[in-house]
Amino acid sequence: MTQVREGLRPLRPPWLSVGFVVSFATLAGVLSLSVLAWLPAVVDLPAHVIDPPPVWLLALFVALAAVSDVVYVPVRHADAWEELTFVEVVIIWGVLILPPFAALSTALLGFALVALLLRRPAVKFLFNLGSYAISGAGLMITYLILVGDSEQFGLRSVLALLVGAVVFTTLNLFMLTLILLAAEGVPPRELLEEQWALSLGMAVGSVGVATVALSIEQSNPALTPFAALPVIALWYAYRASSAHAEGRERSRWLVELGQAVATPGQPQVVIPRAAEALRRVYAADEYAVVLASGHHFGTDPAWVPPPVPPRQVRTLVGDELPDHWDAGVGIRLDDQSGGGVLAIGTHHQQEWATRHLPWARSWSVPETDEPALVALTAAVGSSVRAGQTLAELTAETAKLQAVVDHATDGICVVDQQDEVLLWSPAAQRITGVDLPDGLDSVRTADTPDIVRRIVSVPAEPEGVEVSFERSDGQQLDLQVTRVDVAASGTRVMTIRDMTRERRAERLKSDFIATISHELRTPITPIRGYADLLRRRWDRMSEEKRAGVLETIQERADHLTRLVDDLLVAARTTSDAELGVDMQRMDLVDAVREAATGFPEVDGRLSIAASEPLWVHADRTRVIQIINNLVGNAVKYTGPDAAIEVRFSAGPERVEVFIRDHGAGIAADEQERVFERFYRIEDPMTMRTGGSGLGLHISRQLARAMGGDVRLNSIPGEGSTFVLQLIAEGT
Amino acid sequence: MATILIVDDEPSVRDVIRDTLELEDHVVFEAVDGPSALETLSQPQLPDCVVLDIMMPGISGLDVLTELRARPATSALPVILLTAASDDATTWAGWSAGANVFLPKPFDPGALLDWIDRVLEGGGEMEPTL
Repeated sequence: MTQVREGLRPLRPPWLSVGFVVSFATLAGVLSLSVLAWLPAVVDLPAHVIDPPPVWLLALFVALAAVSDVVYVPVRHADAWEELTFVEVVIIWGVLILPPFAALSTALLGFALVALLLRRPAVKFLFNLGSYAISGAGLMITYLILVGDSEQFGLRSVLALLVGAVVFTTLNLFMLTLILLAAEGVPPRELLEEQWALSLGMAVGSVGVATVALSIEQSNPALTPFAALPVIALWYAYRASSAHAEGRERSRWLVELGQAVATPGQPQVVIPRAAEALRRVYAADEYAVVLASGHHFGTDPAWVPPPVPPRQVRTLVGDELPDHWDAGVGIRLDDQSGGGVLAIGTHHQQEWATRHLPWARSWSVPETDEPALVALTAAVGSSVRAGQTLAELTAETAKLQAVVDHATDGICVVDQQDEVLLWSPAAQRITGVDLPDGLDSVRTADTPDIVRRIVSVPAEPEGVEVSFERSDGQQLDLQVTRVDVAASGTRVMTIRDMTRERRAERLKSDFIATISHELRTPITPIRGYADLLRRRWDRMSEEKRAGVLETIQERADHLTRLVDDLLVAARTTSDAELGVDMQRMDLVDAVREAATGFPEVDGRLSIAASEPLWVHADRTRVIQIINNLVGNAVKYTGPDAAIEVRFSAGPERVEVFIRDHGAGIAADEQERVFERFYRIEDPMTMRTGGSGLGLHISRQLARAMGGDVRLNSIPGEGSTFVLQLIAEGT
Repeated sequence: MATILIVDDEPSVRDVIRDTLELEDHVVFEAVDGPSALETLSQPQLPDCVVLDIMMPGISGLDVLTELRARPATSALPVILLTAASDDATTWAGWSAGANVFLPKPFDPGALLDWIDRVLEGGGEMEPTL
């Protein structure tokens, strides 16, 4: 059987149809016979030819030809079964014994009888006869010309016969090429590559047999039938050998079938693999499967097998078979496989010969195999179910893996022997500890300390706080919650990074201490002086009373500003709009006004500006920001150090730089000073007052006006705060 | 009449305490921070009582008190602690450091005077109010 490959099919001339080839074979065959009939008139026949032949000899040759056509050996050749006949032997022997026309016509008559008897299709019959006539005539003409006038059957005769056999093979292959190209589009080159060796071998072998037969006949005619012994022996040897080959082939596919049903998989994978193996086991040509789900596959995609009752193997008959199948069986697939029918079948073995001749290779599935086939479908079902379970399990595992991989909290699973079974990516990210796959017991010496601490926390409902310093130097506060899985003795730890929360709590706690100090401190003189005025009014001088009242007033103003700041800070938390009243304003003027609030630094505060700088901003808020920034500079600068204010005007932005010569701020603190409540100092011993809100509020206000506050600082040299605002043309 | 040292970094708080005490004829000295207070209290002439603020820049009032209690000369010197923080931790820290009286800000000047009188008389210490 030759596969026709799409895309590789050679361009077949349009006139090369099957009809043309058959007509050509028929006509050429008739012509060949005519030439043979005329041949004895022009060449002398060799002495070993019996001329004229007796009738019994002619009848014998007809019978031999018929038998040689039906007695064949199946030979495994190029992934297909070839039917090897012995017609060449009869034709070549005929050449040696009979006149050319008689030799060929008796052979053709024998073949014709077989074709009629087996009801072979007329087209095939005509082509075969024509083809044999052409190649047989080629053989005989070649032989008679080459053997010439040699009296004896000798070396020359054998060589002539060999050349004739080559001609026979060549012509026969040529005709085969033509018909297959016309009928199936098989490329001639492919066919020749597959066939030439086998055909030539057969022809040469036939020459040998015929030569032996003639030699025996010339020495002792009664022994002539023994010349067929090698042929018979060869035939039996081939039969035995091919039976072994078939058995091996069957075993190979049984193994494949076993593997197919033992491998869990989806129905679309398992069933075609099993069906293909089953097809090979029974040497079938086709398989087709339809599943209840509507899935449908096979070597014959257009055909859907008919229904088959449960747990049955049924021989398909008549209309149940597709047109080109001669025989087939259907097997019901159980519901686990998806339900449906699997069918295998063949398309060329239902001829008379295969049904009636004992040696013919007929196709069937033995009834004794049926229980095994029913069991097989159950195995297919199990395999499909296992495949589905595996797929579901894989999907579930993938889901769990996604949870483990993407959880923000770290997850660590430890077994009874303190073996770490799972150390999630988040656990790795949080702790900075990478535990490789197939983790060691935490009892080993090289287990990082933090892992040891995490896996040994006690089971507390609220979790346990674990503080540690990560390898990158960051101080972390972790909350580790342990859950014991009673059944397996496994412990599951969730690791939450609470560093931010704890820092926020500390900031808040520090803020409360600071703000408590900031609020209570001004109240102390207010309340103290009010009490003093009430109790000791008489003993206080007029001047003293005035001074006391001024202090009360000043402290009350201070408190008011503090409360204002707190309210602004509260708004920045609650996402409420920071009210800004945007207008065209002179930034230089606003800075000068803000500076008047710091009379104590008047001498060392320099403001470098000669003309107005117009910005689009809220004047009150700008003064508040400048107050905060200059106030900071004053607080953190030595009593004599200068504070410089400079301006920079661009087309879109105007910036004011407030530079002090204080201690400066470390790089890692530079962004944090803008956080709410953040203070660099410990509230208990801080040198400077303040709520920790000033810079936060300044930045929020600047941003509300479309600007920003930035910080450049070099520790030991001082800090420069930059207020950026939107420029407005003059 | 007694000699009293006020230690506080906030001028207005020092002023109100000074005015209150002076109107009652006490003699008042001032220190603006911890180091200057410790300096003053290393002199042979000791005040009768110290009014000491806790939250001060540099050395806190608690540190000053701890140092005073460690010195033989001042180990029994009456100290009234003032604090704007009123959390339990600070209160406990004050008592542990050896304060005679723990007075949260803002305080009533009358109450301060009463406590000064009581500690000068060698009267009982104030129980911590938690």
